[in-house]
Parts: sequence; C-alpha cells; structure tokens
Amino acid sequence: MNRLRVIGSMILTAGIVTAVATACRKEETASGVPTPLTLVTPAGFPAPNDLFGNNPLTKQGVELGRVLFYDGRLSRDGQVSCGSCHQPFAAFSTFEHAFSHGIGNQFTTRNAPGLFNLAWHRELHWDGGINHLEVQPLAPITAANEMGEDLSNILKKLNADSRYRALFRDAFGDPEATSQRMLKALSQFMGIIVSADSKYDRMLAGKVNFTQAEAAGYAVFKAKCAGCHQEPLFTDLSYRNSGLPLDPLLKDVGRMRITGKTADSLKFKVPSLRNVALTAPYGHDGRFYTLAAVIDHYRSGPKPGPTVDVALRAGLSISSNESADLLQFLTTLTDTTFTKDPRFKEPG
Amino acid sequence: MYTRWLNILLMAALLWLSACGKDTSIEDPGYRLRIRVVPMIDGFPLQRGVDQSNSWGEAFRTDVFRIYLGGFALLDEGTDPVSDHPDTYHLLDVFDSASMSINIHGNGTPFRRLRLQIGIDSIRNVSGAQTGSLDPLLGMFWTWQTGYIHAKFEGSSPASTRPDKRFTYHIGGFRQGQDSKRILMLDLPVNKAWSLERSGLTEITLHMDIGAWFRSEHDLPISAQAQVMQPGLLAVQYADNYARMFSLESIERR
Repeated sequence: MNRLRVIGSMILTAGIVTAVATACRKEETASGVPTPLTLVTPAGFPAPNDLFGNNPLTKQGVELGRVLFYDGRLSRDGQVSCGSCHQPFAAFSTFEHAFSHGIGNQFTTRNAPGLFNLAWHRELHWDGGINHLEVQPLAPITAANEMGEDLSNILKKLNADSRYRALFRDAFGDPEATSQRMLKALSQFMGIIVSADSKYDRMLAGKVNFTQAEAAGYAVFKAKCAGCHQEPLFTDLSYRNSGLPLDPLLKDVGRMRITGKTADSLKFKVPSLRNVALTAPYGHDGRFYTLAAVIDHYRSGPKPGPTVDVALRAGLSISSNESADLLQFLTTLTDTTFTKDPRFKEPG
Repeated sequence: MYTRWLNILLMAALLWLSACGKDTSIEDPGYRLRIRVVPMIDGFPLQRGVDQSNSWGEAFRTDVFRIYLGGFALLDEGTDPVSDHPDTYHLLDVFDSASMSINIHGNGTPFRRLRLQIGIDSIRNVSGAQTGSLDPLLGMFWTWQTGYIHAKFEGSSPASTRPDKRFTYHIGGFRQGQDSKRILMLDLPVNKAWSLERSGLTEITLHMDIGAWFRSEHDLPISAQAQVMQPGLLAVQYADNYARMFSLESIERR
C-alpha cells in the first residue's frame, strides 16, 4: 500500500510539472532559437526606456525590421519605404528637404526628424502624439500623403512572399506576418540605431581634443543652448514654442493638437542636436535652410506670443564670433560611425 | 488518505492556474455564459442603410457601428466579482451578427450583477503593438496620435452640415481629462441571485440602444456636430452617452 502511494505521488508530481510547463508553453521556433541582442547604453547616457521588455531584441528580429524598413511595398504604390524619407547618410532624416515626398507627388507637412537614440525618447513626432515606438510606423504607413497603404494589404503582400515567411519564422518562430510582429521587428531595428560616437563623444572620452574654436563653441552651447538641448541626448524631450509664427497654409499648432490645451499652442518637441549638420533644413516645417539662420533667429528674438518660451523671449545674446564658434562645435556632433554602420544600411 | 490526495490535486490545480498569472477567481470552461447584444434605436431594431430617426427627429442611416466591450465580471450583491475577466476585449460590429455574441465562462458561485467596460484600458493604449481583438488592422486605432477608438459610428443624415451629409464619430481617449472608457454595473432583471450551471449555457441579453448616443446624459443632435474624431471634451460627452446605451434585458438558461 505504501509503495503504491509513493508511486502514485511520483506520477502525480510528474503530472504537476508537465501541467505547469504546458500551461505557459509558447509557440516553439521551427528553425532554431533567435540570437539575443542587447542594447548597449553609451557612456554617460541615462538608462533607456523599457522598449524591449515585451519585444526581446534578437539578431533575426532586427534583420527583419531592417528589410521592412527599406521595403517600398509597405506603401500603396510600392515606391515609398521608411528609408525613402529616413536616409542613413542624412542621419535618417530627409537630405536637404523641408518636407519629404509621399506617394502620388505629395509632400508631408512636417520636416522628417533624424532617427537615432529613439530608445531614450518617451514620445515621438514633433507633437509627441505617439507614445510607443512600436506603433509609430502606423502613422506614415497609413497617412494618405505618405505611404498611403492599408495594414491588411501589407500583410497580404508579406505573407505571399516566401522570403518574408522565412524572415518572420526566423525572428518569431512562425512564418505568418501579423501586424504585431511587423511592428515589433521595425521597433527592434529602429530601437538599436544609436548615435554616440561623434567627435564630441570622443572628446569626452579623452580620445581626441577639440580645436580652440570647437572648445569655445562648446562653452557658448553650454551657456546659451543646453537649457533645452540637454546633454547627452541634446534634447530635454520637452515641448516648447521657439517663436516660429504659425504658417497660414499649414496651420500647424503642434502639441496643442494632441493635448487640446491652448497653453500648448505652437509648441513642438525639442529636437536633438546630434548630427545636426546632416539634417538641414531646420524647424518643424524646415523653414530654416542653414544652422546660421537658426542661430540668427534666436539672436534677433522670436516674434512675441503667449506661449513663446520664456528663456527665448528677449533673444539670445550671441556675438558673431560666438556664433561662428558655436557652428564649429555643432559639427562635432556629427557621427559618421553611425551613418555608415553596415547594420543600419539598406540590405542587399 | 483521501484528504491527502485531494490536497495534492488542489495544489496541482492551483499551480496550473497560477502558472500564467491568470485572474484569481477560478473559472471552469464547463460553466458557459453567452452575452448577446441587440442593437436598437429608440426601441426599434437598428438597421443598415435604412432611414431611421433619433429622438431629435433627425433622420439618419447607419453605415458603421463598432464598439469595444470588455472587462466582463459577474458580481455578488456588492461589487465583488465572483468571476472576473479583466483585460479582455471584444469588438462588437452591429452588422456582423457573429460579433454580437460574446462567449465566456465562469463558475458556480451565485451572482446578481454584471459588470462590463466600454473601451480599452489606458495600459493597452501605451504599451505598443497589440494583437487579437486589439490588432490595429481592425481600424479602431488612431495612427497620428496613439490610442484606441472605443466606438466608431458613421453614416449619413440630412441634419449633418458636413460634406455629403455624412456624420463621423470616432470616440476614444485615455489621457487625464480625456478618458472615454466607461464601466457599467447592470443588475439582473430577476430579483434573486443567479448561478451558472456546469455543462450548461446561460444567456444574458443586453440591449444597446443607440438612441442614447444622441440624447441621454448630454444633448448631442447630429445637427450640432456631425464630426468628432479626436479625444477631448466632446468625446467625453459622447462617452457619457454611450454608457447609457446598455440595459440588461433578460437572463435565461439555454
């Protein structure tokens, strides 16, 4: 009787273990387990947001995201990919364009921002309307003047392509393309794009020295600009009105469109100054063609308005010499390691 | 001896249930509950592409009516759930009859009220790409500003001042001051507790009367505004009104 009981208990224990194991079993990978990757926090950076907690970063996930990022089939006419407007050599902004080209000879209505260090951004877009990197691509993909495509059409195209089926299987253990997998893969690719190897970064690490003009420009930057363009991201991620009057055609009220608060009228997200020499033109609508023009705007004092940032109202006192030095410093924020990184380039 | 076996079995059951962090109340698929939602307009069945009218005397035709319900729970005489399905969502489409029945399960504990939620919890609005009933390809997700559309109502009416006499209501919002999620507690129409039966199906019939959309907590005739497509004060008023659309009509064994 005792022996029976022991055997019975053993069988039951085995049963319990199996039950516990099967209760949580996820779909298994058909062809090996994806290779885990880690997002490395650059020296001096704060901890990134928890972008990959529900979306484990893997080599295969990033690779799928990269292929998707550069694929025009995510647009209705097959011509416009994410990479069309976010070009690596322009720090993933649109080279020398105030607005980017969407399908059917259309323009966007805001200047395409550079894409880097996104894992440190709580909100995306000039008005901060997007609260998670995974859902950001839905905006350009579905906007009629950008990629103009329907999610279910994209999934049809992807599921009909054997190459994609293999990529989805490698990344997620199942060949089916779903909107969630597509968005998670894009988020993995965009999330690992980090820019932290500019001359400025190397100077801080003691590897190189600034020229006299660069060092003087850095001092001007810290005195006049760092209040909003905080190191090390070169943005404090806040929304501010830098005194650009409303464009009568675009009528873009910025942050107010999201919050509905008049106090947020004409406020836009403070852009990072990293790679700023590569991302001309400037401003949310690209109204400044050069960095010198931006500095002049701040020197002359913005047009008054109820929501204009207090720190800018009187104009920034920057002499012509200081302005020249500041421009020298700003070029030290250009990171060619990142713009030429083979991991971020168009595949093939 | 039997007590010991029973203990082991109970532990096994508990382990299995807790292993995936499921909700705490013990659910049994044998105790089936169907919630059937019947769309109405001021007491008449809602129809597609047919002229009907609201209590303002405005004629209108419905092309689209979709709304998220979720968070179903059966409650005792107070507000304690005897059976709870938090963070589950179901998209009703009045012109897809299969979507108008929601099948869940519970347990044998008596209950007196049904709790349900209209709209999507804020956590699901801020946690990236979702799947299943929350898949953005279902068209209930704003792309230019992250967030779910809790209810979508489109059609046409001579009262509309918009092009083509269209009306378009996309109601949602989860931020402070813009919350358009609503939680309802509906008492059973029988004056006693009810319990689900093992191996049996209980059906609850809810009426969803769209008349309340236009006139209940707030007066919202089509002539006043035929286009609401972003979170904010107006959306909150429509949410107050859509919370009044639901009534519990009957509960019966099937």
